Amino acid sequence: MTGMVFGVLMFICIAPLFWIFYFSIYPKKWEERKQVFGVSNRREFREDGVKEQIGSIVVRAKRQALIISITGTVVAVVLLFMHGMIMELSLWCVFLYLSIVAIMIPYMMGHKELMTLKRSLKIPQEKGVSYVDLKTAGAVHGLRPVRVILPDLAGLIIVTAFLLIDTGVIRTESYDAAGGFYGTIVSGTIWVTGVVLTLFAFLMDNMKNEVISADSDVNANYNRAKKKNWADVNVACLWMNTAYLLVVFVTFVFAFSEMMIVGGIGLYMLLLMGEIAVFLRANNRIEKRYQKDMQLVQDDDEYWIGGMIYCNPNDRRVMVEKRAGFGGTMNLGHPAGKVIGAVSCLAIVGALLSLVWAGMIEVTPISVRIENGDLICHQLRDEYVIALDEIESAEWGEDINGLKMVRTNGVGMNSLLKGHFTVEGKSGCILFLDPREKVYIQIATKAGELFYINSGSGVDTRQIYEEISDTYQ
Amino acid sequence: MIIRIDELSDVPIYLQIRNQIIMGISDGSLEVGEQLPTVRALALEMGINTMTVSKAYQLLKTEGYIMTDRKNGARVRTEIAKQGSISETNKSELRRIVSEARLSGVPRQKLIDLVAEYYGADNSRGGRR
Repeated sequence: MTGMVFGVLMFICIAPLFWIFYFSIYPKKWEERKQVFGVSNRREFREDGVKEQIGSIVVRAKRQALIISITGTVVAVVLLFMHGMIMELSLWCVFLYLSIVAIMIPYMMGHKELMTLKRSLKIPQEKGVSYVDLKTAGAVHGLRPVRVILPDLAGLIIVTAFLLIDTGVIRTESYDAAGGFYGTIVSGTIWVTGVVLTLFAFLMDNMKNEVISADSDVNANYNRAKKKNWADVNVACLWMNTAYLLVVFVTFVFAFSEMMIVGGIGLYMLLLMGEIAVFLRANNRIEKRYQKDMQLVQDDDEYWIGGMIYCNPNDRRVMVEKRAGFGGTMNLGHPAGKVIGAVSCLAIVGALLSLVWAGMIEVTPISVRIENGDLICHQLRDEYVIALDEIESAEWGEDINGLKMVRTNGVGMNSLLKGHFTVEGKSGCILFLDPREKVYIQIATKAGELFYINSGSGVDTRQIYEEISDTYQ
Repeated sequence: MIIRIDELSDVPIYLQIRNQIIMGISDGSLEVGEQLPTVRALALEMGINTMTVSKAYQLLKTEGYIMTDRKNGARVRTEIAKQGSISETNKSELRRIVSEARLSGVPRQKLIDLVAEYYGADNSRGGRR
């Protein structure tokens, strides 16, 4: 069931991406866009003869993108029925990376064709020329700080409440994982996501004001409209983040339900996709509205590799607004941009390698044996050694599913529970279990540690339990 | 007022900023007393170093076109000193332009008309665009 829920979650995150990209970067009416495939939409492009050529390039790319989007959606539906947590996760992640690359291929090909066409038209090059309006420079914003600070503050109250419960300042009967700081860690992570979003909101609000006209009022209105759109989407995302924090709090403290947490993430992602779609639609409307006022074109197309990657060593800005998609992109010509770009690449490689590691954890069977007076639990690099003469008590358990377990720090898979968990309200318990096998041994040591172990086989677990019982009794 | 910056030009960026602000004041695109962006804001918008903008502002201040103070930032001066003469640097620049025009076969009267047009246009505009 969990695997299916996970699959649905990934489906919600990935499948809409195709269609968001399809509708946002493959325009139906390219004439109304500021850029076409990352190339500035110039007046010369709309002249007779040229217009038809660009039209055919756009139609061709759009058709290819449609085929990729349909294929991607079908593959995503097939992946929904995959089983095996890590196998599923690996496939979804590889699929995510491939999807992003695949949907951008027609765009990049279109960009290349348009750049070739632009050169053939012998349009005077204005590489290195930029315009700044002294009236709008640093003066046009769409974000009022209070709008982003409020949801962050509300989120902070929830995190503080979790912290007070975990430290025991506030006591509640219904929350039996207190002391494990699981709630504080989860809510803190969600809150930090909100803080990052807040920084992003300020970053987008302080982006360079574009100059599209010789009239400062037009420039001011155009930039204000765009920044207001950014502010609205960021504030909506922040409130969504805080709402999810509230869901987590209510679920953890009053009625723990994994389905509610996972369902909340699903709804969160769905709303996020919706927000992005609304933002892109509004952005297109702004571009369309100001199309007739666009007299000045900043010709920096040469600095956009494939219409997606910005690399301009003469530009001191680290981040610029994307020409395709949502958000900003690093200026790879800037030293900081190079570092961030390299770190991002390493993060992607790291994510793939960690998936391989997680896959190894999932498929490697656990081993529990008694050797030289020690009980040794071993899997890959983890090993728990309990001296038999240190065991105070050992109890036989028949039903793992009957235990209420919350993971604090460790592995929680369908085939493995390993590490520190809160079990039946007692924090700091160490688990070494294959949950597919229902029996387990609960071991308390003289040092006060509490272990829950099995060997993945009922017969072997029983034999180990009897050996332990004989020794410590 | 729109400033056009050419990163690949032989003219340093601070001079491009300085020259265009002077032209803006002269043709009325920038009014007397008008607030200019802060050094940081302008540098951020142009994607250049703050020192470059600071140098341009410093030059404009020294030449008497703008005034700066900590509280109000930079503003166009309300009273610009009218010396009634052309500086040696500008004379030299004008000589270069006249020479190039003569060598290119531009008639004398056409050049005079052009100067009159620029001077007159600026004079007649006076105020805001």
